Amino acid sequence: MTSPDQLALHGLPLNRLVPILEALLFAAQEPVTPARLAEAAGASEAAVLEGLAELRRQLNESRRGIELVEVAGGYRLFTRPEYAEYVQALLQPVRAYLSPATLETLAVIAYRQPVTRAEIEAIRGVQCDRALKNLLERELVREAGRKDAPGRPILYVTTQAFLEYFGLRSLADLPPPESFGGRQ
Amino acid sequence: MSGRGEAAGGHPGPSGPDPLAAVEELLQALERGEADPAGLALAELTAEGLARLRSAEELDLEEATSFLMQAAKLLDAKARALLPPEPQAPFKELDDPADDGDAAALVDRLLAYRGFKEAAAVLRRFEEAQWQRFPRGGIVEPAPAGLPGLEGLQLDDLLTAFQRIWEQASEAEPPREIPREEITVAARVRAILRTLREAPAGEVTFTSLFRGQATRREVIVTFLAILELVRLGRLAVRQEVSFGEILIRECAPARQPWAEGGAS
Repeated sequence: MTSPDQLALHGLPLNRLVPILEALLFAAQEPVTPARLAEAAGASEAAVLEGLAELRRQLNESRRGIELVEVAGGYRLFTRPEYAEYVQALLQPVRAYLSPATLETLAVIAYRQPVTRAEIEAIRGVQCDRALKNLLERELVREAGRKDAPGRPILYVTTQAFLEYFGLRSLADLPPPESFGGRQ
Repeated sequence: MSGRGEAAGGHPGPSGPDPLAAVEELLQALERGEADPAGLALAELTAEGLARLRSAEELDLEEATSFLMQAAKLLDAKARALLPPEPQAPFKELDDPADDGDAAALVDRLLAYRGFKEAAAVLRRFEEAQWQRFPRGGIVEPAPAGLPGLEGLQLDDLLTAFQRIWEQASEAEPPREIPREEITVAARVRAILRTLREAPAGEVTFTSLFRGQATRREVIVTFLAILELVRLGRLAVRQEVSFGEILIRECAPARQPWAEGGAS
C-alpha cells in the first residue's frame, strides 16, 4: 500500500492529492469522472484513481458520515446509509417511489434498449403511455432516434440519471437477464 | 372452456388452495415445458381467483391486476392452442418458427413478462438502497415537463375529478342559526398543507380533501386552493392508472405566500 506522503504517479503527493479530490467531489453536484477530476486537479488519471482509492480507505477506516461511491461512470460523495434516518430528519425529503407499472416499463427499456413503445406494450400487455411519460419527465429514459420500421416509431433508452437513481456504475451492474425466471 | 376432462397430455390443474399462486405455478409449468397450453385447467382457477379478490376486505390493486393480466393471457394462450391452425401461406419455409402458432409466441411473451416483473423487483431493491444515500444538497428530482406538479395526469383529469365532487355537493345552503364563517382560499391552502403534513406517508387522495364539505361554495374554494398550490409548485399530483384515484403530496416550497398570518 502506498504511504500517503509518498509520491503518487506523476509527482503529486498523495497526502496533497487526496484532500484536493475530496474538495472537488464535495463541490460537485453530480458524479465526476476520473478524467474530469484529473483535469481539475492537474494530475494524471492514474494518480487520481490512486487518490480516490486512498480517500475511500480513509473515509471507511474512520467510519465517517460520508462515503465515496462509484456511480454513473463517475465518483460522488454520499452520506452513509447507516445515518439515513438522521439525514431524513434534517432534510425531510418528499419523494415518491416509482409505481410498479413504471418500474416494469423501465425494466423492459433497461434490458431491451433501444426499444419502442409498441415493443414495451407487447411485452407488458397493457398501454404504457403514462408510465413512459412519467419516466421521460423524471429523465430516467430519453428518446434515442427512430426505428427503421413502418411508422418510424421512437426508440427509448435509459439515461445517466437512471444509473444515478439506482446507484449503478453502468448498465453492466444490472443482473444478467438469464438470472430471472422468465425468458427475456 | 371447461377445466375438466381436458385433452390427453393436458396439465392436471394447479395444486394448493391459493388461486393467485396457482397462476404462478402454471406459468412455471409452461416454462419447464411440463404444461400444454391446450390442456390448462383454467375455469375453476379463474372463478376461484375472482371470488377471492371480490371477498377480500381490502382490494390489493397490484395483486388483482397481476392476477387478471396473467389469467387473461393464459386463457388467450389456451384459446389459440385449441383453435385450428391458420392455413400456411405459399412458399412458407417448413422450419419457420411461426409454424408453432400464435400460442407459442403468446406463451413466450407471458414468460418474458414474468422475467421483467422480476427485473422490476430488482430495480425496486436498488431504488430503496439508493434512497438511503444522500449527496450534498439532498436529492433534487427533475421538475416535470408541462404543468409543474402533475405526474401521470393532465389538468383535464383534475377537472374531471373535481366535476365528480361538484355533482355530489349540495346546491342549497344548509340552514344555520350561527353566522357562517367565511371560507377563504388562503385558509383552505393552510388547511390542506396541514392535512398533508399530518397524513401517513405525507400523501392523501384528491377526494379526501373535499370530505365534510356540504356546500358548493366550500368545494369551489377548496379546488381553487389546490390549483393555487399546484401553480406555486407546492403540490405534486399523480394518478397511476386511468380513472384511478388522484394522489396529492406536498413538494419542497419555492416561496411561501400563504404562511400563517400572511395576506390572503
